[in-house]
Amino acid sequence: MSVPAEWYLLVSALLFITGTVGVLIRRNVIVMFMCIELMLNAVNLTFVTFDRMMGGLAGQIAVFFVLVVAAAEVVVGLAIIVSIFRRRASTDADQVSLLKW
Amino acid sequence: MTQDPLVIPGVNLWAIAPEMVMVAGAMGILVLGAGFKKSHPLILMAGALATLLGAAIAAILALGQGSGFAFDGTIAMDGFAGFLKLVIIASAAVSVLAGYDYIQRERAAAPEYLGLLMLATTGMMLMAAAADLITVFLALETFSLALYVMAAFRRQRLDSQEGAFKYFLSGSFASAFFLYGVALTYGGTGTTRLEGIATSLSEGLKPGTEVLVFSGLALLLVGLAFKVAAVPFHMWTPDVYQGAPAPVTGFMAAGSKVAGFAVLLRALYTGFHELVTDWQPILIALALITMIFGSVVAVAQTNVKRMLAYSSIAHSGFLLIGVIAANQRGLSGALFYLGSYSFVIVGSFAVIYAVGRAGESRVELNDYRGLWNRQPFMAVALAVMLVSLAGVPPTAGFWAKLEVFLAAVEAGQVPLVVAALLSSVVAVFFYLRVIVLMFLQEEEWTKEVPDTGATSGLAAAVGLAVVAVLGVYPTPLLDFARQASLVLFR
Repeated sequence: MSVPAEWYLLVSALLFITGTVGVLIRRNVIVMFMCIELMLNAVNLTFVTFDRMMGGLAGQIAVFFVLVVAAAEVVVGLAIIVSIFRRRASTDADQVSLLKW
Repeated sequence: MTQDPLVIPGVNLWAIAPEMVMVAGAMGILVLGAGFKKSHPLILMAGALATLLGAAIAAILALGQGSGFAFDGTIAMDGFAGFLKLVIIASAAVSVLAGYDYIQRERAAAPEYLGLLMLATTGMMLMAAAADLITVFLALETFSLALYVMAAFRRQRLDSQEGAFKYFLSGSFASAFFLYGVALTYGGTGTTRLEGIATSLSEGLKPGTEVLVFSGLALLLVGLAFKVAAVPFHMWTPDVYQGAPAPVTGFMAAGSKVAGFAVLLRALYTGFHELVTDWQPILIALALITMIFGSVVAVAQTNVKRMLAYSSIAHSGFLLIGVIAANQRGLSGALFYLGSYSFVIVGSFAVIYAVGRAGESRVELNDYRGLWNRQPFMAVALAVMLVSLAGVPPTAGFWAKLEVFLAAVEAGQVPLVVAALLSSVVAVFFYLRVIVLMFLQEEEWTKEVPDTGATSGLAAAVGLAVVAVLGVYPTPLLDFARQASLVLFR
């Protein structure tokens, strides 16, 4: 049994959309952050699938770069979230609403 | 079986010489800060300025090395990159001056501030030179991550935390869209090099891949529109501008705009030039709402930092007109615009910091009442820079707008230019309001002794000088911009 390559693209698109919707509707900042990571990994799957279809290598190398960037993003993001949590003791995004218009 | 010889891609270190100098300097300052706890901020600032000078010299020398590609076509070395690198280095240098006062007054961590600023500068310079979409993504993240931390620099303050958090969340959200755009473009054209994309688009797309390329381009535009703060991807701008320390805001406003437009211009003028009739209408719609929304909402602001945030949104709209024109004048006009705008915005935020006093408690419009009596030099500098932002002759901002608008007229986009002129008129109102408050109104409270540091004044003076000199004699920078724009029109 073999799975057509297009299905992988479909799965990665679905993962990306799941991540996007998650960022938009969830209110816990940690979960929103996880959804962004989900989006990045969905893109990784897309890269690998295209490489498989076209027999290239550039996409697979791109995945390594994306992994490193995602790790760096986690470091900075969690640091900001921790500093907010220290002052407010909450990870609810709706409470971070001092600045408006 | 014979093996193919290993082909090593051409390495031309001139292409990344300024970036190498910057990274070395940033590491040096961080090590110095960690090793000598008592090292004086003045020494560190001198080190940062010396590194920036070294990077500028490297960029100028690289200009003389001819144009071409390095590192297997991922980095471009040409006048376009050189021009924008010099603009970025110059605005970073002015930000270092403005930031020194901030470090002194708030007892902020000097090595971290300067190190992050220099690493952000490196990322922005790479954006100007990147000729490959993966390289663009890496450069984008390099400067964004540094700026997220800098926006959170006043980490005990709720507004700074909130601004940084919003910047981080929406920034990485937009980066994810950009990256998906890269992946889809790769799937459609089989390459991430801009040159390769141009070749494969001009040869005609294989059936079934059009949808990949078009959705890829759309996602790339979303990611870049976010970085340059175009409506409707601007939501983070006012909050981040207000939350971040004013010197950081100035640097962020100048640098991320230059870097974002560098990639927009290079990608759309070279890689996706074949699809010009497809991206033009999208950008026209984007430019229209950006200019009008930015100018109108800025009128309603009472906080000066937020007002300048909406003004920067409006300026993105004006700059987009240069991109839309898609001719050489549009490109050189946009380059000149970026050059003059960077100095003005960095200088303006230096003044805002000097007026803001400890903790930046005075950033409301009312705090500018009678500034002429308290800090006459700051009042004059801010007034001239606001006039330039409004685009009134004879200032640098006037020539920038004129070039961009003329380019659009040449390209037949007259209605767009009319809309731009109308929103410029609206914008004059809120710039003039600040000037009237500063010069014609008496302050309501007792006089206080201003605690302005000298380096903020110096930063404001640089902004003032550039506006005035370019206003009277814009020819050298215009010529440089024209020369720099030639390379994308071979």
